[in-house]
Amino acid sequence: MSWLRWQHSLALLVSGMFHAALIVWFQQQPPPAVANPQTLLVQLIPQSWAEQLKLSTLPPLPKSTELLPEDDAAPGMLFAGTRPRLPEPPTPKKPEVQKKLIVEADLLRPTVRKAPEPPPKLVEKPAPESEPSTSLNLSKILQELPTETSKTPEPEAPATTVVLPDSLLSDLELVALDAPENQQVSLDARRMSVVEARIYRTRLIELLAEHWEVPPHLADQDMVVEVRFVIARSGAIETGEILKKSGDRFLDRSVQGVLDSLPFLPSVPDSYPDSRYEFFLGFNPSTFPL
Amino acid sequence: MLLLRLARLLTPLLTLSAWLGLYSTVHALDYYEITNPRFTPLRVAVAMQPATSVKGLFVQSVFQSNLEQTLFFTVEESDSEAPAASPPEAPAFRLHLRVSREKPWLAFFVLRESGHEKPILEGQLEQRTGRSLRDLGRLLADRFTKATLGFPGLSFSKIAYTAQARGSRKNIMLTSYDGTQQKRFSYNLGSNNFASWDPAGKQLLYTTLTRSSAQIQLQHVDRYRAHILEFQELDRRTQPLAGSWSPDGHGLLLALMRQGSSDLYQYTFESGTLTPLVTWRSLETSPVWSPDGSRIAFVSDSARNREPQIHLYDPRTKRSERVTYKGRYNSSPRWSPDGRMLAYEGRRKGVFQIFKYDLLRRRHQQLTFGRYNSQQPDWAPNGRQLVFSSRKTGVTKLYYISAHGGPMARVTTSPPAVVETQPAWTH
Repeated sequence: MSWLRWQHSLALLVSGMFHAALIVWFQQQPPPAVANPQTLLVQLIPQSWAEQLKLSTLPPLPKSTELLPEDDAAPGMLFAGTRPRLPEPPTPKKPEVQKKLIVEADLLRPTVRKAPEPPPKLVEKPAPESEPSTSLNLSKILQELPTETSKTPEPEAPATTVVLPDSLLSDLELVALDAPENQQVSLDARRMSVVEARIYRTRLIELLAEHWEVPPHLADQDMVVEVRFVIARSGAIETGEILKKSGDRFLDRSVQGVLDSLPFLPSVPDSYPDSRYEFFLGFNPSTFPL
Repeated sequence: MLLLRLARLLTPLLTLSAWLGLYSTVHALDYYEITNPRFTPLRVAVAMQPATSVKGLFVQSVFQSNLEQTLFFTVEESDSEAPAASPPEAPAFRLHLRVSREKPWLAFFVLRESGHEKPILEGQLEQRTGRSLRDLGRLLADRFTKATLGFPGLSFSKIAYTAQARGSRKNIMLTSYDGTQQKRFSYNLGSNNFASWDPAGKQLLYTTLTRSSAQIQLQHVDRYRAHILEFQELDRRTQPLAGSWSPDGHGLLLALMRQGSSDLYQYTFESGTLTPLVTWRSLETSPVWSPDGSRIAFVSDSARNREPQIHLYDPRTKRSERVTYKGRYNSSPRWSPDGRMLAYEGRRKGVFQIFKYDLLRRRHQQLTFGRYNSQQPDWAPNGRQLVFSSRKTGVTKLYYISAHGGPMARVTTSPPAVVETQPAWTH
C-alpha cells in the first residue's frame, strides 16, 4: 500500500492545479454564451434526430453567432469575483417563456429520444388542436422561443473599441456594441474588466484611508467597524451607514467622521452595468508586520 | 480490493473538486478592507479658572507636557465660557481645571468627552507632604490617561541614560518623563555605561570603564555614592562587561569577558555565586531576563564572526533559539513588559533601525525608517512607548516613539553638544 501514498499525493496535486487553472480561466474568460437556443439544439441533437424532428424547417442560423456575456459569468467589481446582486427591475411576465424553458430542459434529457418517434395511431385519431399536445413540435416551439439577441443590438452591428483619453482608465479599452445615436447603449451589453475593478478598488481604499483619522493608541488593535455604502454611478453617496460597531468609542467615532465628511466617493467605472453600486467596508486600524 | 484502492484514490479528488466548485460558484458582495488610516492624536482642550492663576498655569503646563509626551494627545487652551464647537471641530475632551490660591494646593478638575455633558472624571487632587506642585500636574496627566485610554500613564517614570558632553567622560543621567527635569547620577572618574534598573526602580546597575579595568557599580537612586560589586570567583583576567537585573531582584545577569571571549553568567546576591549560563566559543553579550524569568534574550555572533544576532535561552531546558535572521547586525534586545515582544536594533542598508519582534506570531516589524541611526531601544513600563537614541538631527539624542511606530518626539531639551545614548526606562 506504500505505492498508493505518493500516487495519491500526485493525483491530488494535479487535480488541484487543474481546477485552480480552470477557476482562473473562468473568472477571466467566462464561457461563451450561446446567443440563440436554436444553435444549442442543433449542436446537441444528432443529425438523425434533427431529420426526424424536421429541423430543416427551422429558420437558417446566422453565419456568425454573436457571443454575449452572461450576467452570472461576468466578473464583478472585485477580482475575488463578486458583484452585488441588486434587485432586478420588474419585467413583464411571460408565461409562455416558462413553458418553453421546461420544454427546452426536457429536450436536453435522454428521455427526449422518445419524443421524435411518431405515435402509431396519430393519423387515425388526430388530437383536437385546442388541446395541449403531448408530443413535441419543435419547429413551432423554437420559432416561438425568444432569442437572447432580442435584448441586444443587432448582430450585424460591428463591435467598436472605445478608448477613454485623459482619465484613469485611458489605458483600458472598453468594448461596447455600437448603436444609433438616439438609442442608448444597454449597460448590460458592456462588460466590467478585472483591471478596471482593481483600479477602482485602489482609488476607493486610498481615498477612504486618507480621510480616516484614528487615535494613535488604536494602532495594532484588531477591531473592525463594518460599513455599508450605496453610491450612484457618479459617486454620490446615497447610503452610508455603520452596520457593526467595534466597541471602541474612539474607533467608531473616527469611522463616523469619515461618513460625515465624505459626500462623494470615486465615480463608478463606465463599464459597471448597474445604476447603483452597493459595497461593504471593514475599517481595521491594525498595521501588519513585515 | 481494486475498488477499495480506487475509492481511496478518488475520494480526496472528489472532495477537492467539490470544494473548488463550491468556492467558484459562491457569489458574495464586494467587501473592501481599509487598514492604513492616518493616526492623529486626540485633541484635549484645557480651560483654566481663573485664567491668570500662576499656580494653575504651572499645573496646566506640567499636565500638558506629560500628556503630549505620550504621543496620543495634543493639548490646547480654551476659553471656559466659550460655547462648545460642533463635533468635527470639537476637541475629543474638555478639561476644566481650577487650582486653589493658597496652601495646601488643591487642583479641582472636571473632564468631559466631546458630545457628552456628563463628566467621565472629576475630583480634586491635593498636594501632600513631600510632593511638589509639579506632582499635581503629573498626577492629573496619569489619571487623565487612565480614564480616557484605559492604561496607566508614565508621568512618574524615569529614564536613565548615558550622556557625554564634548571633551568629557560618559556619565549616567536621570530624566523625568517629560524631559523637563534632569540630573547627573554617576560621580566617578570612569566612563559609565549600560544602566539597568532594578524591578522596584530604586537602584541602578551600570558599568564603569577605566583605563585599566571594568567594574559593575550599584547605586541607589537617591544617593550619590555607588557600591562596586566584587566577584570573588573571578580572576584578574576576567572583566565584567555589563549586567542586568533578574525580574525578582535577587540576582544579576552578567556578561564576562575572559581571554577574548564573552560569556553569560548568573550572579545571585544571597549566595554570592556565579553560575555559567551560555559559554560558547563566540561572543555573547547584552543578556536580559524576560519579565516572567523563564527566558533570557542575548546577543551572540555564533553564526558568523562579527555578525551578532539575537538569541533566546531557556535556563531550564538549556536550549537556545535564534530569533533574528535578516540583516547582519541585530543587537540590544529588550523585553516588553508583558513579555510578548522584543525590541531591538538592526542594521539595514548600513543604517540602524528599531524593530520589534512578536514572539507569538514570530513577526518582525520595523518601527523607524529614517536615513539616520536609531539604536538601543527600551520599553515604557506600560508597553505603549519606546525610548531610543537616534541621530536624527546629527547629534545622538533620546527620542520617544509609539510601540506601533509613527512620529518621534524628543525626550530632553539638552544642548546639542551633549550626546545621549543607552536609555533605560524604569520598570
